[in-house]
Amino acid sequence: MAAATYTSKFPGPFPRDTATGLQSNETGLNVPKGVTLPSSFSNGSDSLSDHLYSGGSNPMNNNYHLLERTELTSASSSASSSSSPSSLSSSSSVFLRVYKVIHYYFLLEKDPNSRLSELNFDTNIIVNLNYLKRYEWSTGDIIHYGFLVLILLFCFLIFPASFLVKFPIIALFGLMFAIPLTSQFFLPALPIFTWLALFFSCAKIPVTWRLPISVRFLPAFETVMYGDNLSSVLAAFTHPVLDILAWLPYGIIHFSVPFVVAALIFIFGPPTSLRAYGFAFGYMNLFGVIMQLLFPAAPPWYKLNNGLAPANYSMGGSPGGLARIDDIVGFDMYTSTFTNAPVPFGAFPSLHSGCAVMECLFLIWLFPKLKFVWCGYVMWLWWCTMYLTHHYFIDLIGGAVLSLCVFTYTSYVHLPIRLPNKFCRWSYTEILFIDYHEINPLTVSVSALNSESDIENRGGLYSQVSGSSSRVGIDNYEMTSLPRSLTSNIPIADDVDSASSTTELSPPSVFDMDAHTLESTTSLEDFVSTTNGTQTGKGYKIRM
Amino acid sequence: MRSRPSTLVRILPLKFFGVIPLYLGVEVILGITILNKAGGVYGFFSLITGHPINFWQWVYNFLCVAVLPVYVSSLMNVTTKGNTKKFSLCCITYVLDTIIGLFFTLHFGLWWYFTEGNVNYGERSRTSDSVAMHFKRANQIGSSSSQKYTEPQMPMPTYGESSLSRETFIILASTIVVTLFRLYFTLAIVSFTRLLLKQESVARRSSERNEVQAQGFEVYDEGDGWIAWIKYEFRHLRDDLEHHSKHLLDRYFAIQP
Repeated sequence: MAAATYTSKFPGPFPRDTATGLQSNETGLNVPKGVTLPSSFSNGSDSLSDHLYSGGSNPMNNNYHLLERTELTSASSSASSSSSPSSLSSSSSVFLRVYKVIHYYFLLEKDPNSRLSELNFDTNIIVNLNYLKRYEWSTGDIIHYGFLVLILLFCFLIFPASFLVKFPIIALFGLMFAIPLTSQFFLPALPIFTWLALFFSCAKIPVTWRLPISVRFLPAFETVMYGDNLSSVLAAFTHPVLDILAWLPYGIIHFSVPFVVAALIFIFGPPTSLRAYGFAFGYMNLFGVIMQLLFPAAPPWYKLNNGLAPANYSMGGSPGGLARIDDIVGFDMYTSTFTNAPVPFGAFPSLHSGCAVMECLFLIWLFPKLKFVWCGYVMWLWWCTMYLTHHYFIDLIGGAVLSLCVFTYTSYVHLPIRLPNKFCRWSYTEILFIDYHEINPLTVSVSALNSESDIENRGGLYSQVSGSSSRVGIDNYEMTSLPRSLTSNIPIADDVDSASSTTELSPPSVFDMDAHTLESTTSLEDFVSTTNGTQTGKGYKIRM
Repeated sequence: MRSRPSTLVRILPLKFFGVIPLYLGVEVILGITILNKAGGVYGFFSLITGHPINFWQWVYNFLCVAVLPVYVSSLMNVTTKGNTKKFSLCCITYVLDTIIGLFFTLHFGLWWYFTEGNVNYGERSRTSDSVAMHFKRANQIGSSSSQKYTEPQMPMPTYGESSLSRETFIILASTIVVTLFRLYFTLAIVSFTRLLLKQESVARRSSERNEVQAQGFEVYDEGDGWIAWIKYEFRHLRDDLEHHSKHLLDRYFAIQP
């Protein structure tokens, strides 16, 4: 049976948007007749979370489930029909029409017994404060929040504004973190807020504190490592059409894609995946800005303008090739902005590259079939940054490697597994996480492999990974009701057996296109409880 | 034959940086390598832009692009069972790539030193001169606009200036550190491949299943067209290379089949 209660491993003192796999039946509103909740659900759930997410006081939930039942009836009568349900056709409201469409295509996926995908609409501050009082801080929490608070404190002190201005801002932010409705978004986005605070405070750091600006290092290192200065190669020929092609991703798309990716992850990813995105995106940028401060380096436009003459902090930034865009459009779109940039000598690492690679990795995780499109976007953006003389290739690699490292950590620690048979956020009834110990292809300890006799005495390698296998998830789903996306993919029992007997165990990798086609066991022996969740023995964990 | 690997085995890492599971390290290493090799693609753009590159730069760019499929394929199969052949090819490619890369680093390092390394402050480097001219000329298009690319200001003697010795030290130190990382990454790849081979060998013996898995070579039919022929030839070449790589490493690590 699936895990009933979910408690995030994600560091945070406040309750999140999901707390339990099933909602409380105390309200009596959202549990269909004839469905009996197992006792383990009520036993295992946190009382505070039950209070938070009961949904009984939330009129939206009532409407939602009323609609859902109507929709279900309508959809079942014409399963293949693409027209929207007719129960609300009397209403001509545009909002309702949009809602119906969203409901039909997304919310109908939701298991009426599962509250995993629901948001928290509570506005009672006391709830969060009580939760904070009871919260047991782990070492990870202390490191995570301690680090971010230190950075924010530095920004607070360094920013040259009156305390009368700064304190109200801090109070407003504090309020956002205190209200459950807003804290579910603000808390996971804390690394992003910290990065933005540091980035815009950079210009206020006294020059006497700053480190010397490197002018020669990046072009020299790029030449030594890659044989040439690739930015020079690409900027050697310019044309207005190429300018436009370079400007679109660098100056326009780059700033909007993070929001689009966030929306896609929220809609199509499993619950809690957006938090992982916020964590990875925020930390990547935060580390990037810290590296830019610790190692100030001049971009290619500096070398083109000033040669190898030493740079200093009295010099402003430059729009580089984007100045040509200002000429084309006829007004100052970039020149002033880049001239007064907070970090004009922050060439290494390139956060344009870091953001693009991070978005690419998350999109590959979300839509693996389109991986060539996402990789193409990264290649396009890399070309733009070098063509516009904003970065050397080594900067791009620095940003990309930073993204890769942060994403790899996030994917194995915070990012839930995306199940291929789930259509959207509302299709999920449980959240699975990769167990990186279980998917290790070196299934026998390394020391044992170095002495083969040990292994032979132990009766063979694969005795450790033997066990019946069947598709995961099928046995773990709550069978009270099944979303549309699941019903079409459930093999019948014979298929399950035949599929499992012929398919070898292939643990998922975050880089693998079919990485998360999971296999599991129906055997209870494999469900070994751990502190972080339930190990299934097949490469993933269910958070309990 | 047996004594040779044992010397190597002693220095092979069993965990990535001592704490991280080796396969996770291999994923990161291959990811970094793929990102680095993408530079070769941009090097080819010099054909279009007219930027002069010499023979060795061409060779370097070509090699970067040529090894990309091997690394991409390996990255997609790090945790896949039965990936020993794929990783054997990846391992040999990586080792050769590292050796060749070290020569290229030395060559390009010396080339940089004699062309730009001893250019004094305030001078323009030879390579950037033509680009700078082009860049400024391009910016003069539509000169009626007030948004011009501003002329460089003479640097004021103020905070932030870096000395020549500091810059040179950073360049040398970074080159050495990156090279050491590269060597360590190579050892990690070799270690991972060796353990995979060893594991497969032990599993085969312990389960008393010595039969070799039948290779599903597809047969090319002339009616399938030339694209199918290319695919067939490519797969055949890849399988052949993987098979020989595994055989070579089995022998090198003295792993009994």
